[in-house]
Amino acid sequence: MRRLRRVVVAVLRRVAPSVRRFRSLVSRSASQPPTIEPGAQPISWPGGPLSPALRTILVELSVPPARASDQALVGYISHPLGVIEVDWRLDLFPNTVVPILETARPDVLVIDASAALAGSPWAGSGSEIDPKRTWDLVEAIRTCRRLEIPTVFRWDVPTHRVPMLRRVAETCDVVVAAEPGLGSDQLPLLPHQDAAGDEALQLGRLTGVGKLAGIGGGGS
Amino acid sequence: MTEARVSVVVYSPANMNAIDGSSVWVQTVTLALAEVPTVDVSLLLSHEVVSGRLLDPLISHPGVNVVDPFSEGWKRGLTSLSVDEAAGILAGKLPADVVVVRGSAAARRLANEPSLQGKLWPYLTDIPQHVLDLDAASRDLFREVMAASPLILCQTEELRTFLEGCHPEVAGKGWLLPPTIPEGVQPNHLSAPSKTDLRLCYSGKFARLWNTYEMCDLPARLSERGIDAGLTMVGDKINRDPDRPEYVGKMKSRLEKSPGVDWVGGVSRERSIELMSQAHVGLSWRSPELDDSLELSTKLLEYCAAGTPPLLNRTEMHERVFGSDYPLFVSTEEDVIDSLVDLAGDPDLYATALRSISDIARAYTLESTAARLASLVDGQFPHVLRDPDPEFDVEVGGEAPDLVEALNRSPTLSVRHEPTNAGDHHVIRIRARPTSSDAGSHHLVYLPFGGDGADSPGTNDTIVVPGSSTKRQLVSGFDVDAERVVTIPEPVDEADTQRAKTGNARFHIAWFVSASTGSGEIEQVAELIGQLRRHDPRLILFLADDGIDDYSSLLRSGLLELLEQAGPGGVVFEGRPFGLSGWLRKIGFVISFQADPDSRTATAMASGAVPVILREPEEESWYGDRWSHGSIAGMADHVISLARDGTAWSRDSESARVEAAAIFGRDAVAERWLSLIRTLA
Repeated sequence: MRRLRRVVVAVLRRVAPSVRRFRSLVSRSASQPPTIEPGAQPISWPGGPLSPALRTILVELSVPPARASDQALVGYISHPLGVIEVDWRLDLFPNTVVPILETARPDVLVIDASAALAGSPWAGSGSEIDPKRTWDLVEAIRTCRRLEIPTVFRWDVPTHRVPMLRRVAETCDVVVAAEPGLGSDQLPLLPHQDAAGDEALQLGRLTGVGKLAGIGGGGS
Repeated sequence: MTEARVSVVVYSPANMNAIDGSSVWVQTVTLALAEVPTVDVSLLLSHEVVSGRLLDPLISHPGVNVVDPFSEGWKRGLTSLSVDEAAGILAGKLPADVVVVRGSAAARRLANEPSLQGKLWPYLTDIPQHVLDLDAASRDLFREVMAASPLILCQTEELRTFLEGCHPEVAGKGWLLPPTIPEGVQPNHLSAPSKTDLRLCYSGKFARLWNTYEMCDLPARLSERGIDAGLTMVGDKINRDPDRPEYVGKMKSRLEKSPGVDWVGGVSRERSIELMSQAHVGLSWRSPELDDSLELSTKLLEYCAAGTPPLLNRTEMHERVFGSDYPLFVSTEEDVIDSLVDLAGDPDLYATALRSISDIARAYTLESTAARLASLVDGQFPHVLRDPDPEFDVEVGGEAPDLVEALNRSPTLSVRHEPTNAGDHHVIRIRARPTSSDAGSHHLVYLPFGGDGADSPGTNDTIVVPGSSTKRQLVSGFDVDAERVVTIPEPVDEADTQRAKTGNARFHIAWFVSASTGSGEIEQVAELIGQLRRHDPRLILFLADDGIDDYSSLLRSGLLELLEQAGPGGVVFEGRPFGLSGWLRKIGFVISFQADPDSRTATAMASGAVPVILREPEEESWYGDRWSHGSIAGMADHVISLARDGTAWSRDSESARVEAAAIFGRDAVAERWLSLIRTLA
């Protein structure tokens, strides 16, 4: 499984540029480069950090137990009704996303657009309602860049429901759609079987993004 | 400041000789300010006058003073005024109580002018409107501009919420000033379009993201579907596109040569609206890249005023304005074609679209903008509304800005605030003296935090506390005569809280804590959130504090147990939300375990968050009985039932909003204070 992990990471890294090229070909709106560049000097959010005592407790509550060396770990930013079910899924929440990413070092970060909808701790990050929460999401992606953790953004709701995420998604390594037409035009598909949203998406299917270059005529 | 008048100068570097968004805004805001009875308005021009298209209505308006620094001889040589020169004029030759300034560079320069401190009302659009664009420079901009500005004008609720959520300096200072359509526009009632007659219109700039290039294809593409369509293109400004240098030439060629397209060029705003009214459909279909815009297109509103339903992208903002069932939302070019084909063959669909837009324009008239500005001026300059012969002179000693704001709402009170003339901490001393008699002053002591200052009052002073449990505490704990204690709630700025909730806010529960929140309350919340989360994982507790640096004591008091009860993701720590009213837009419930509302809980209720209160049935409270529960299970049942039923939640939300305004609103609280002072007199 360690090999699988290496393969996943390698595939995601390999496929990301081609997916970006693909998107720029099919979408008029993809001409803007990602705004977050590795090494860019981030500004801090006003209001100060979380109380250290509280942060310590929250991290302790969230870090998964030690995993076997051959098991891949998926970091997941999702709605509570999110669909990916894997043995080694690490749910990530706004207050602790950065320290948890740094501590647990998942093999890949998956962000569902629906995480920004109501009924989620990430609610408001897709609109003007909660810029701080959008910022938390950006910080998560920035952290993954720094730690070389591949990021996958998955459009599972229409962009107009979470308009602020359009540009955030552009900063991820891979952007996919759960259904045709979600996100921008003709994104590669990473669907789930149950449109209601509670069918498991297995890790094997997730790592299937390695096949994206062949989907929908995109890629090289 | 002249007596009971407020002088306002409008300034923008925009060229009033050209018609664009900035200059049109300057014109309409100036005209709206001229309609405010208590305002004297001047417009400081920044360019020499060469065209009267926008300026003539201002120059001929008896209520507007157009100040032309070129004809005044204040400016020689070049044909435009620099911002530095404008700052000099505003600081010297043209003094004002308020300077309405548009544009971030201009606002920043004026903010550094000592004599303009506290006088700026900035309106900024050239600012970051996405967190990815925030940088140190934008932070500095807001820090500097807001230090000199008591408020900031925002075109939409979306922009206000965003700015207040990003910049602590803006929090609580955002004022809505929606776009304005000209006066006198009457909708033109055309017969429904048909396959042989479909008239389209676009008015505005020509730019890549505005899809104007693609629009020129529409008549030809519709012709392929059997529709005889014509498109009138209005405007003369073709934006350059740095990524596509050939864009300007190609766009111009399209406008000139596309079959079925009639390019009329640049015209006056009135003529533009007239051309819109001669079309069946207005085009406002844009690139999805603009879907996260926080601004509302004035053109959209002009289409509505002209009686021409616009075709536009589906966004949350557009759904708020047009309704989610508006039939002409589109996203792709294929959607546009399909919608127009449908419209040409279905008169009922056209009638539905017309009905949808019939009332929209009314909220954006010059009259409604003037009313907003009048309310703003009245709030900022309470003396303009004050009765020339006030009933009482009132002096408020101590840090009580909210109370002073509320008392200022009463025209018969002449209020003087002496923040440094305080007694002990948390003790507000109030002296009220009737102006019509020689009777002496009446002394009151306001204790917003109850017993903290209970030993301070003089023997005969009337004591005011915010609630009955505070009163009980005072009477039993400090041996104060109950007859001397009056309850008046803390005031809430209900106007600021009137902001639309987000969809499905009913899954979000607010709880306000402080470092002194006790273990008993934390245990109760743990039990409550545990019950709620077991029922529905979408019920999230958003915990806001009042600036706690160290949560150690709360963790020792049971917060850890609460986190475990809530489970992963069940609690989000928000710190101290610096844009409280904006933050409350996502909150559907507020929980409290105190019979006396604290100001944040009352503010949440005024915003439409349904209060869920645990209190003994016999306990007196400002909260109505319908919001109160005798047990945690009762609280949980209530939340669960409303979370399940969006209609029921909306009904209760509106009731909470109305009830809170009637009890905690500034006018209501001012009325209680006035009654009390009269009683004492």
